[in-house]
Amino acid sequence: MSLAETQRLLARLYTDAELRRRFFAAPEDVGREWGLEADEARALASSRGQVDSFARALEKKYLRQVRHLLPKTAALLGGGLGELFSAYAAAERARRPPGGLHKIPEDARRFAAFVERRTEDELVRAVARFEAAWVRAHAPGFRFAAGVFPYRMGEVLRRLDEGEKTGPARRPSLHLWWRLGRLRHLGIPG
Amino acid sequence: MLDHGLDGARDPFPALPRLGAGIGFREPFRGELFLNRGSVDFLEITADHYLEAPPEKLAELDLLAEHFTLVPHGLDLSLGSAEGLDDGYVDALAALVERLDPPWWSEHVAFTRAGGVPIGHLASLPFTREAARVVAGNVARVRERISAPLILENITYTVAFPGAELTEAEFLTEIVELADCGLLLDVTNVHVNATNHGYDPLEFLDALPLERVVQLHFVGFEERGGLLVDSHARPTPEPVWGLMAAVAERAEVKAAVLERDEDLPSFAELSAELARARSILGRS
Repeated sequence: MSLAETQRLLARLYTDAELRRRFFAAPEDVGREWGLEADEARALASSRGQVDSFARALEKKYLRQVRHLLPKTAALLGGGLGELFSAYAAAERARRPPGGLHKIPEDARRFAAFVERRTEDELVRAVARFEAAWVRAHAPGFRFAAGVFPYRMGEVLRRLDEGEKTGPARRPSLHLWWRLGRLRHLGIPG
Repeated sequence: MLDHGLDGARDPFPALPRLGAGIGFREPFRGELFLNRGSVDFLEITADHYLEAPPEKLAELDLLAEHFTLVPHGLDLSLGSAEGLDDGYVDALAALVERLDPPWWSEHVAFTRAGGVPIGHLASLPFTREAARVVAGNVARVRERISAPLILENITYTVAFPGAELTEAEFLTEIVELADCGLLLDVTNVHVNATNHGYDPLEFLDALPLERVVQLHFVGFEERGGLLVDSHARPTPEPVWGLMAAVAERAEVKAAVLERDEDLPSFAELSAELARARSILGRS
């Protein structure tokens, strides 16, 4: 197997938990799908512990990066963040990993969208969407975005900073982001 | 035991300036950095943070460049990719390096993508001559676009591929000699790998072409699950200072960068580490 083929398989093993499980359960069978000879598959399978360890470290790194960009969402999710991120990684990220120069913000936006779809908690959904809007606003080429949120988001963020994880009374707000030179934001309470 | 004898080829890069002790720029200490300008000789910036960046990031870059020599350090060029390089990434990187006109720039002996899958981190290469040729070939291709000198960094590795033809030191030597480039020797990574993979770090240094070391990286590490992890989250420990001193005795090291990323201490603590590194480099 060439180095290029080996790297293609490794990139998938590192980022796709399901493929990793299948490969190490039946390395010669799965290896054949990737063009490995039997001895090559067995040799790679002998590194299972190291591959698993690297893959786990990678997922922790992805989560750390996303948490940095969605800190209030992470705070609200608390101990459930890791499990939700693993579910996102398995369901979506492994099939279509974020790429390009801005893969980290893209990962954060996709995870925020996943959180919105997966949680019934309206406050969590609102905060995830709000933070994702900020991430999008910082992207190169951004010009304008608007969104209506079920809460006054300034008040939500202030409560979260004070450690309060329940939402204020539902009062919609309109938020605008635009860039003409500098990035600007305006929240209009309803 | 290291040979402390004189080496007639101590500095194969005489045109590169001695920059001293620098720090990897991190936004959380930006304010303190300017207040403590005198304790930092230069800055290493993460190139990827400024590629096709929004105006605020480019303004930050320009402000830093007004006050410090900046050395770009790339993360995602994937010089170890057997598929070759991403032209779009190379173009963006070339634009950044041209904007900064640095004395050199750096990247890693690693791959970060393959088959359309971005790994998002530095993945190790097999220690084979084929892999060394791939890296050297990609370096040659990059040089067609970026003329500033490129130096290559050793990474920590979890996966040690079976069937290695070379030791890690032989692999790095093969690459820098094929590519005719300098080394960014991360002495923390040397200590971490030596501990995790069971070899003597001083023997590792003995096997490297230390005259090719242009710059060092240093920082602390952590132990997790019985292995050392280069977390960049702790002060530099004595074994790493010892390795830095060992290299400085043998090579004309131009610069050293403190790579503290996490759990940032006071800037006074960072400055103290820079002062110690500067003192060690002064013996180089």
